[in-house]
Formats: sequence, C-alpha cells, structure tokens
Amino acid sequence: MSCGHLASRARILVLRLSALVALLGALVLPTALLVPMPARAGARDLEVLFVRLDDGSDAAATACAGAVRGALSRAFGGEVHLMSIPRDVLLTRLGASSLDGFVGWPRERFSGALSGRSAAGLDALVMLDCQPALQRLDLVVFAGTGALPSAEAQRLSVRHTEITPAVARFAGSVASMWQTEGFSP
Amino acid sequence: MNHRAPRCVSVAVLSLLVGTLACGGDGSEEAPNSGEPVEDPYGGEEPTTAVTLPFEDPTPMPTPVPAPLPEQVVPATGPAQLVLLHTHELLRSEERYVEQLLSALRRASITLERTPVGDRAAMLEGWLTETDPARRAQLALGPARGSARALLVLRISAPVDRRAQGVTAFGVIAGEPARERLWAQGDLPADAHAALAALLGEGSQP
Repeated sequence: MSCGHLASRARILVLRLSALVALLGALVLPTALLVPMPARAGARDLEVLFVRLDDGSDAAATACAGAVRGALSRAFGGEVHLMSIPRDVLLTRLGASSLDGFVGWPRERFSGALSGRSAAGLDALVMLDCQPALQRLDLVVFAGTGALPSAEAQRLSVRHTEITPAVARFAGSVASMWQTEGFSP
Repeated sequence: MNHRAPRCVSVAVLSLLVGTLACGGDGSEEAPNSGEPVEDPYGGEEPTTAVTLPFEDPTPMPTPVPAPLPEQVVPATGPAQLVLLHTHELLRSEERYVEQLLSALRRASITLERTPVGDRAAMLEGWLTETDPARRAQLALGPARGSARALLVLRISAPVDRRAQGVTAFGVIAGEPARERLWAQGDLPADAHAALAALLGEGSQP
C-alpha cells in the first residue's frame, strides 16, 4: 500500500468524522435549546404562596381563582412551587378578623405573613379576592429582592366590570409577572 | 303759622306724588328682584331664585356668593385615550414599550389615541397614589376622563441610577358616569398588554 493511498484513506476518515460531528451538533443543539435543562447547581424553584380570599361558595369565583392560580404556575420560565393556604390561616397569621379592604392596607398590616417561619424560603405571597357577583377583583402580590421580608406590595383592583374569563386571564398574567419581581434562581 | 301749615301739607302731597311716579311701574324691568326664577347661564339643574323682601333696605346689598357650579357633564363619545404620567423625558425603551402596548391593543381591536395629560396630571396622579378603594370611590373622575369613552393611564417613573423604572402604576377609567375600572400599583408586563383589551373593550369601541 502506497503512502499516497494511505493518506487519501485518512483524509476520507477525517471527513466522515467531521460530517458525523456536524450531524450530531445539528441534532443535539436545537434539542438542548428547546428542552428545559434539569436543575443546575444553584438553580431553584420559585416558591410562591397563594391565598384565595373568597369563601369558595361561588362557582364563578372558583373559576376566576383557578384561572389566576393556573397562570401563576405556568408563566415562569423555570419551575414554580405553588402552595396554597386557606383564608383562615392567613387571618391567624395576620392577627386580623377580617380582610375587608386588604388591597389598600399598608405593608405593616401584612407583616405577620411576610416574616417569621411561615415566610421563610418564600419568594412571593399572592392574595386574590375574586368576586364576580359583585363585579370586583382585588389582588395583592408581595415579591422582591431578598424575598418576602423586604418585599413591596403590588396591588391591582378591578371595579364595576364583569369578571369574564378574559379579565381573570389579565389578572393572572399580571400576577404571574409580579410574583417573579426581584427573583434570582 | 296759619299760612305755613297749608304749604307744608302741599309739599308733602307733592313729594308723595313724585315718589309714587318715580317708584311706579309693574316691575317687569327688574326681573332679578321680581321673585321669578333666573336661568342659570351654565345650565345648572337648580335654577337660582332671587327674592325681594317687601320692606327691603334700599342700600345696595353685597354681591351674593354664587353657588358652586355643577360638574360639567361632557358626553363620553370621543375615542379612547392613552395618557402618560411622567416627569422625565421618556427613554427610547419606554417609547418602544408604549408603541408595543398600542400595537398589542390594536391587534385586539382596541385603538387608543395617545393624548397629552394637560391639566389632568395632578388629578390622575392623586387617583393612582390613593391605595384605599373606598377613598378612590369618592373621587370625581369625570373631569379626568374628559370626553374619551375610556382612558388608560400609565405612570412611567423616572430612572433611578440610570436604570429605567418603567410603568409603576396604571389604571382605566370608563363608563357613564366615569368610574374606575382598573387600578394598579405595579408594572404592566408586556405579556398582559393584549389581555388588557378585556378592560378597555366596551368603553373604547365606537
């Protein structure tokens, strides 16, 4: 076998290997971009606590709360660890007997839910009072750098408006972005 | 003395006659003092009524303080508006944001006319700043809404340390009478632009 023949075979082998690498790259790269990566070192879920403030007796209110809750769990690019507590538990934490007008409360009145063991590890607290029968929706989201103890309130009120699924979707869309305020995975 | 008395009587009689002629007439030329209702030139609902007391002191009375004018009712038939509250020159990114919002709403069949805030700034800022819904409900939003069917207000806060703050409050006033439909303290994320049409819909279409 001549040296020239060997060289040409080696060149063909190199070319084939290059083609194989290119093919693998073409297949693997888009997949890597499209499929979410598993948790990396340091990465973590968004920890969100959701509280529904209506009494749960109205089917329309349940649908509205479901739409907002669904938006909270879907929207974030990473994973959302969404937890819920009943309204009564929140009342106990706040040391309050009523949540009337909560959307206008100063931050201090929420301090019982924003600090202490119950708030440890939380990135956001979302409180929703959806009352389609009264054409009204109130939403307060606490989120921010340094998590709940230093979070500021973001507030939204809908009044004199039929609470259609589209309105609930709007509230959910806003809340899902507000919950990530200041979050760093 | 006997000659003077008749002269005094005649002078008195003459004075009475002259006085009667001077004050005579049916009073039709003095409508404001006739007790008839006076039409309010501003179209107020309650016409004011001037009443003359029977033995009124002829000395000129001080001008009465006019009652406050009723809020001028402007029919809300104009196009829906977008008003921006800001104290700084908008950054390019903020201008782009506003254009993207308008485009998203146009795609959702809502057309907003971008309008200067003018003398409504303080009123709208006061409304967006008030967190108590009960107190906000007391605010007269008609003058702020003007003739627009619906008004979308965005507050774009000034940059801090050269970092844009973006929208920090927003709201919608619509309906007849003008009332708050949406009020928020926080960002209006781009993902929610199209969905905002749900709150502008009825009040923004011709």
